[in-house]
Amino acid sequence: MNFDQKHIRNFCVVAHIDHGKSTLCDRILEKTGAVEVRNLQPQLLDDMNIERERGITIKLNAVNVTYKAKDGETYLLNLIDTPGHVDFTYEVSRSLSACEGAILLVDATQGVQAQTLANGYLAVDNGLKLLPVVNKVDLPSANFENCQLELIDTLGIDPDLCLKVSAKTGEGVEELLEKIVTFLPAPHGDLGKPFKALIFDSKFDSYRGVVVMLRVFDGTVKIGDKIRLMSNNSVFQVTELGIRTPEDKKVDSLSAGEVGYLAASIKNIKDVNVGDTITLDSNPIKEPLKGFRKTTPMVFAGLYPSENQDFENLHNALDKLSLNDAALVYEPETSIALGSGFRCGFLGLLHMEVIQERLEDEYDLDLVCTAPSVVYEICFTDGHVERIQNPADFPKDRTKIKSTSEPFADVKIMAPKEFVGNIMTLCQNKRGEYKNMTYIDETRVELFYKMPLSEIVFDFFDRLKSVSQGYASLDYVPLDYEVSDVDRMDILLNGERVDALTTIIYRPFAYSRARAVVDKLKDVIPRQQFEIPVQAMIGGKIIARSDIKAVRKDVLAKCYGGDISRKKKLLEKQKRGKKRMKEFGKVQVPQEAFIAMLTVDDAK
Amino acid sequence: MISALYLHIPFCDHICVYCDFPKVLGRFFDKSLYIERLIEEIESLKIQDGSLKTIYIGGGTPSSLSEEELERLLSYLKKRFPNLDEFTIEANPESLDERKLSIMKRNGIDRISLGAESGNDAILAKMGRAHSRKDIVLAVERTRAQGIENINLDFIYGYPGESLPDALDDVSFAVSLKPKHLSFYSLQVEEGTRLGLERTKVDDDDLANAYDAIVKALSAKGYRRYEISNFALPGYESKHNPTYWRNEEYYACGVGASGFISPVRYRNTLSVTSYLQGKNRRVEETVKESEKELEFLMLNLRLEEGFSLEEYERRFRRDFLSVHGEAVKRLAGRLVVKNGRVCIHPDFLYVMDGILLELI
Repeated sequence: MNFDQKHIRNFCVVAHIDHGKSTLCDRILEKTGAVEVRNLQPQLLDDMNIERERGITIKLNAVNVTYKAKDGETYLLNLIDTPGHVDFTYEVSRSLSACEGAILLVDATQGVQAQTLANGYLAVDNGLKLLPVVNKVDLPSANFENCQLELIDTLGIDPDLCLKVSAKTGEGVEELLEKIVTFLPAPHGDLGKPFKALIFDSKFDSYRGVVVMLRVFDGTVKIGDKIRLMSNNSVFQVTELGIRTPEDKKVDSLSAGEVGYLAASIKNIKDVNVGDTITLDSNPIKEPLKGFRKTTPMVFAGLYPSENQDFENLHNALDKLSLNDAALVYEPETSIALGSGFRCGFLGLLHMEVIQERLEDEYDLDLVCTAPSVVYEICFTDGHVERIQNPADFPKDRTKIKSTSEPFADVKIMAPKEFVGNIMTLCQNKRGEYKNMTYIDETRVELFYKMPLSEIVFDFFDRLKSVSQGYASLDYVPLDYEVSDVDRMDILLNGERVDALTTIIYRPFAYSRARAVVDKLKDVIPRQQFEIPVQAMIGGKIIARSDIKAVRKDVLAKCYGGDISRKKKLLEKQKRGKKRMKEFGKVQVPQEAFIAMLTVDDAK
Repeated sequence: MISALYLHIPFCDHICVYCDFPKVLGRFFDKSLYIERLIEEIESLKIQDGSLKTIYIGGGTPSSLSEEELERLLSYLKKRFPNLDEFTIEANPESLDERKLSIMKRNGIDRISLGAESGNDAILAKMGRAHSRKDIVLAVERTRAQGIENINLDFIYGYPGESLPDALDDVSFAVSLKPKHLSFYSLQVEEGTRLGLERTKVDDDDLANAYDAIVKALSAKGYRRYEISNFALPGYESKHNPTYWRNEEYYACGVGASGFISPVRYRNTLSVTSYLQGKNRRVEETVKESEKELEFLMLNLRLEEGFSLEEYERRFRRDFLSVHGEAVKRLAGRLVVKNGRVCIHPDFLYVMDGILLELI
């Protein structure tokens, strides 16, 4: 069936975490008959186990469903699901720009929350029309009127527009579908203009190559057309076009206003950049769509198999994962402490955790992940410049270094004004340079800082959430490198340097940082059979020390007939736990230690 | 040939705050029927005459049985197993009167294990015990008066609020009663007990300090530690309990009792009601070949004397030192191989789990 633009609605759902976005999407699929009820597993759009487990959407996804409205006409609804974490802000903004409208979903029991606003503003910034929906109205603690008030105050939304919905029971979903048709704008592309489309996602399929999710703005693309990806001018011939219902359904062409997928024998996912513009090679447009940014990894960390023989398995697993994840980069490296592994680049800490979990769950690997780090630039006295991805490569001899620099970023924080004091303290502790503050309305402010990227990518987002009771939202844009006084800090366990624990630190903060790190390691590394000194060393000098005391008791006092099976199980569990630890010299270090040392609070 | 039998009497007059053994308040149950069921279960084992060497009646509180119930059980056992090397019964100081003692003595009991737990009345009260320090003294005197000299006293150290001097006072008190055998257990907070519910915390460093002091004080008085928590005057080590630590087989009867008939470990039903109805649903677990060595090591190494290389080879058909040579080298000073035996160095018994984990 073909739809003219008047009968197409492209929209997404934006919401705070756990406000019921995926459940609502499931209900829409069910009500429009896209999925039969019996085939509906909860949260259908969340493909990955991790997404279902954590209740967050990481990869975005799109489905096309049809809906017969009260005016007797049938409409094509294209629903684009968006990820919900700051690591993926860029992906969110790209998928938003593929839509004309957004459902702004609010949990009736919790009201407007940080992410509601952050994503709501992002949608408004992208020119989307907002359709406010209050979910979970079936719960006794639901407060619909309060949500209406908060929506007026924060986003200036007309209270009469708010729909009452229970995604769980299905209440109000019919009305919502009707409203999508009557209230959200239809696309208004020009069929006569040259083909112009936006890539908002991609994935790899072993038969078809890279499958590109796209939104057509102008013109038409047909099978056999030669397309050009404007960011790198690569050209491919279209072999397949289709829409997702949610199963793939082939079509002959995609025209202005439509959302669908495209395959063109593209072998390498790195050729396809989210946010890029597609045009026809024979009749290209002049200006690409605005807002394209090449996703570059911000955080680097070493991933090592716990068992050395798993190196090849890890290599294969990374190859497979990266087919679907253009942001993941990796190259082999070796560590004295950890053996052979890979230095991997990620968008942020969440991205890193997701990759690590997927490698462990889907590929059954036991991994050790080293402390993440950004890329530092070192200018040597002889004039040559090196970029350091692995802190262990940072020169030990400082006399050869002329200067060091690190990447900075422009940071924008939005928050209710009562948290400004807390946020400013936090930014100061994270070496933030205050730029500006503006009032959005009477209650909300926007703060602008310049900050080293290394301070943002670790736990800044979590800290920001905790000092603002979850209300602050964060966005950042990477800037260039700037000179910064950093140095390597080595950690010695039982007198031996552990290269995997080396980090780069800002020198003026060295002492408090070193103290916090050794204290943290003392807490994270379990007590062992002998006392272990934990030392932090900068430039050959020990600047902090903390001792892990020897274990004094680990035996069960009573072990009689009935205790034997239990005791045996306990020991077997400990044995498995020990296998997950990495041994340095005689010291057992649990995997958490590598990350934990980064999340220390120097402000204490 | 299986030579040990454990019998469980799950009845108590009151429940102690730390206890995680199978137990019930006795007043709600038909205890004499229980004794009949217990005798039926023992009969069902078809134990060969003369093969059994030790019986241990534990609880719960065996001394909470009435005189008639005690008489019925003990006289049956005496008749059925007349030639035992050791016949122990556990008792609480407050319920061990002269008449019960005389029934015990008459029926062959030659060892009494008394739940003293503490010599401090305030701590005893907190533990939910029903006796006082004075009751312990009297119970020991009454036992001796009946001619039973082989007495063990159980103590618990590390109870919240107990200081190191308190623990050492328990040692002096215990020694002053001149028992042949003493057990000192660290407090273990277990799920499903009052202490567990209250999330009572015990500090391992405190326990280790108390333990070191207790071991030293007892040794000075001639009580040799032969297992992590067990101490005896020479020649008075328990004969029954080392069955467990040497990883040997044993029968067990009664509610919640655990037995080992190689390669199966079993535990009887935890329900007194089912047991009284003659229904005993056992939970059984076959010890896998791969677990046998772990069991052997984790149990034998609790003993100060450890195990002999010969015994290891007899059981596993391989040489301990060839298999574990590297670990033995690494554990030098903590694991001792001497005179054909392997044991944990006495100074490291309290941290033997870590040593064990390095070994396996």
